[in-house]
Amino acid sequence: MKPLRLLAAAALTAVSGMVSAAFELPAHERYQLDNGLTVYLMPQKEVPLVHVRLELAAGAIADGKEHGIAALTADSLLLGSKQYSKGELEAAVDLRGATLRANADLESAHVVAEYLDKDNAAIWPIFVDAVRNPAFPADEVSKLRDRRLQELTLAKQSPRQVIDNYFRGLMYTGSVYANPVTGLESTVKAMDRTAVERFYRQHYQPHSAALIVVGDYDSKVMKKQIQQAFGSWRGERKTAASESAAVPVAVPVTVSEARVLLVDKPDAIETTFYIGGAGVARKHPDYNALTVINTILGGRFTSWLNDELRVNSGLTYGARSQFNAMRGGGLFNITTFTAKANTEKAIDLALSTYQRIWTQGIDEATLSSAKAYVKGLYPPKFETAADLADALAMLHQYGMSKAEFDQYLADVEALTLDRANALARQHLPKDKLQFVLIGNAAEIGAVAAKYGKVSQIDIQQDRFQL
Amino acid sequence: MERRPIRRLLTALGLLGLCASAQAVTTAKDVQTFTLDNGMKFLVLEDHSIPNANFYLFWKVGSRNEYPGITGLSHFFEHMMFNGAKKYGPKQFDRVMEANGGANNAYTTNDVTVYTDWFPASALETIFDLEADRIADLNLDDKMVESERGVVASERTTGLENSPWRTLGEEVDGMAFRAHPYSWPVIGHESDIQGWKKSDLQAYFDTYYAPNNAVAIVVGAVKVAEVKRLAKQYFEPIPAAEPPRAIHTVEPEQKGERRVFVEKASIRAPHLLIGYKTPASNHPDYYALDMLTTILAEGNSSRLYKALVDSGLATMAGAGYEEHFDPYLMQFYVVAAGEGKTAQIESVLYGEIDKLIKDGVSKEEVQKARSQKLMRFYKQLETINGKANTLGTYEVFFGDFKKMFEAPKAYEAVTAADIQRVAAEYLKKSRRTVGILAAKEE
Repeated sequence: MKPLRLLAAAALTAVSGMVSAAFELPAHERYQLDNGLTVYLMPQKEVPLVHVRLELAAGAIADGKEHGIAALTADSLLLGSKQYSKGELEAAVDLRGATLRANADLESAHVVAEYLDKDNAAIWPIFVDAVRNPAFPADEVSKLRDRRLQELTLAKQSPRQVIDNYFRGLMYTGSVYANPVTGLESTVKAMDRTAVERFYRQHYQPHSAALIVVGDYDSKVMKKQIQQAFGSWRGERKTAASESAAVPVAVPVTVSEARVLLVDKPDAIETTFYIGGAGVARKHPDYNALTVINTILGGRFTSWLNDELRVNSGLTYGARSQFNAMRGGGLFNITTFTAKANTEKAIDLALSTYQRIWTQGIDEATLSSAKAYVKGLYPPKFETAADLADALAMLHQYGMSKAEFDQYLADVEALTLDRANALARQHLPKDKLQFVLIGNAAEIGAVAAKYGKVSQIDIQQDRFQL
Repeated sequence: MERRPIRRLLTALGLLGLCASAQAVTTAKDVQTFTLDNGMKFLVLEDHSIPNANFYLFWKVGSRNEYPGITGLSHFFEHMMFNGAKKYGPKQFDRVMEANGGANNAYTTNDVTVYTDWFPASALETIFDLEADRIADLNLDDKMVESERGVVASERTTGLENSPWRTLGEEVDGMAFRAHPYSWPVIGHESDIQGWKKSDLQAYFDTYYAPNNAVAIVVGAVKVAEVKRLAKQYFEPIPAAEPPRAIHTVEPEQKGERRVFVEKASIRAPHLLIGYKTPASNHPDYYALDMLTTILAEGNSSRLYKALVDSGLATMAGAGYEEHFDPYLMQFYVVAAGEGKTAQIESVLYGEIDKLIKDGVSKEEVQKARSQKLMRFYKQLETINGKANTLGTYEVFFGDFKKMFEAPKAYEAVTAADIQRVAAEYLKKSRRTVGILAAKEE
């Protein structure tokens, strides 16, 4: 979330020190139950907490035409189960200050429990029953659905909450990677317990799932507990639907021209925008190096984009760029926001700053600073049990080994200037850029036309693509 | 208000329940303190779990120290602290820090301004050099002042564009407080952001940014002796200043309910923000009020979640009672499930409060609130940043970092009767201000 620009090499050499922070993922054990469920155990003793995470191949890319069903199904797991009513579940969790939550994103769904180690006997069975025997009570599912419907409309109050949906809609038209995770009003409205249960049966399968436990516990006891709880979990037979959802490839549309999706929000006081194109998948061999390149372009406070758009010109509170790298593919975008009247100035400046990748390139001092930055701030990303569980979930999701994961710092260190410039020019979209602008169309429509072929949509419309 | 657009929750620092028995967890004895000759106090906690450290600097100045005409100056000042000093000129603070593997941020509230640096422990001396330079010799560059005005104007606009609570909160504060400086938003009024002068900034720096008005916290893979040596070398030469004058304005007693309505076309469902006047953090009723907030609104089994969300009247219901030097508000936040429900929502919310005042709370609810606070406490202890921020908050708002570790006892001492009593005393109609944000007034 921060931006910057070129470093004065002389000033830097005077002050930059050696960065010595090092980190590798703590040792963990990985094994599979007979049903294919992968288990990751990582005992950690710093605080008396246990963090349990079940990772499932049940994200929104499996929605089919029912946009939002993956999200509603995950949410519905906590509405009561065979042994615990919704009220009992919530009372038991709150009484112990524990957390129990379930949600879906684009590629996966997860159920998380976090509790004090002394409360294992009380919370573990609730977690297990929610995952294995959800009741999906019809009245509660309907209530939840109605709340989600309301929230869908509320999200459109805030351009920042919805802009990514429009960008994916533009880049992945016709692909499951364009699916809006929380769905559309028209699709969510039609959902009920039957739809939720159907999705659950199809996609909540042990063979593709991972159970991750990080925290203060005894591994021997935990293994036994896991075997007892999940050893008999069979799930439904694989169906065509779940097979096809397992590894869809996210191929962005072939762009033959620059396009602008103008999203009209008539009472907007500022313009929020994305500019981008295709990126890389998370497992791409160049991904680690690209995080350093993104740091330089728009990944930290002194990045080129933030330095120009915020520090030098005061046009925005923050400008940045990001690689959204997923299992099936990835996107890249620049993003910022600015007062309506400054829309053109800010977009022009973002574009000219971005073009420096080709016109000017990265210099040695900047690369060296970015490498130091990425390395220095790496260890704090893995301080909590939740952080470590996220990392293990990533291993599972992307089929990575610990060695591959730990290659990160070495890849960062090994990045040379020539390679950095070559990779930037190879992987960043240079032209035919794709734009999403959310703002007052009447006032910024003419500006929008400068950047490509414009299509317009009203933010209140129940869709994110044309 | 933060310097960078990072979505970070200001951890409401309630915490704790019964953590006295936990071992291996940080205790008060692990925290070393010293005060330099110029009055600058340091708290240091060695923590070698990762090869990193942080530096948190709490300044006892916030929007409460402003007056009409310079509203928002504390926050603007927070931005200017990054824009150049004597040794490290414009942009150098960030460039040098990032080149050394560090990052930073800062936040301003009504009461305090907090600067935060995160870095590999090997960069400790560089951080001291950078911080001391800007505290001793900040240079207010004219060009940077003007470009930063634009940045803050954008920060204000993007908050109003994207956050209904920001829009509504400003109006509720303005309605609830007519004399005390909690009346204006931390980010300031737009005309003040455009109108203040460089001389206002200089006067602010001279008044509030003296070492005797700050508390520094260092947590991480450091040695106490080394921190002390660096503190003496870099910070002790900076002279102390006359302590700033105390804020003596007391908000006159509110004599009846106040209401404010805000219209915004793109709002899809009414938002309600209801604040009750409550005492400052150092008041003996703090812990009981904090427990009351938890019982009313934390978790799906809480009273307000059940009465408002589970019932289908609202899509969310929450409450907050944050740290403040002076009496502020206990706030309730509700998003209505569609139009035409605000009157009913208010009536249900007040009904729940009245029921609690009449019948009290159960033992189980008290236990639940303690557990929730204990869990939050442990979560804060999971990271070096959580430790630093919590230590600093206790030191500044409660007068002593040790109270962080004594809080378990304080929460244990709160009885169901205390919670009932504070509800009756503070959650009265005459103390409340009701704000409603919607596309159209109902």
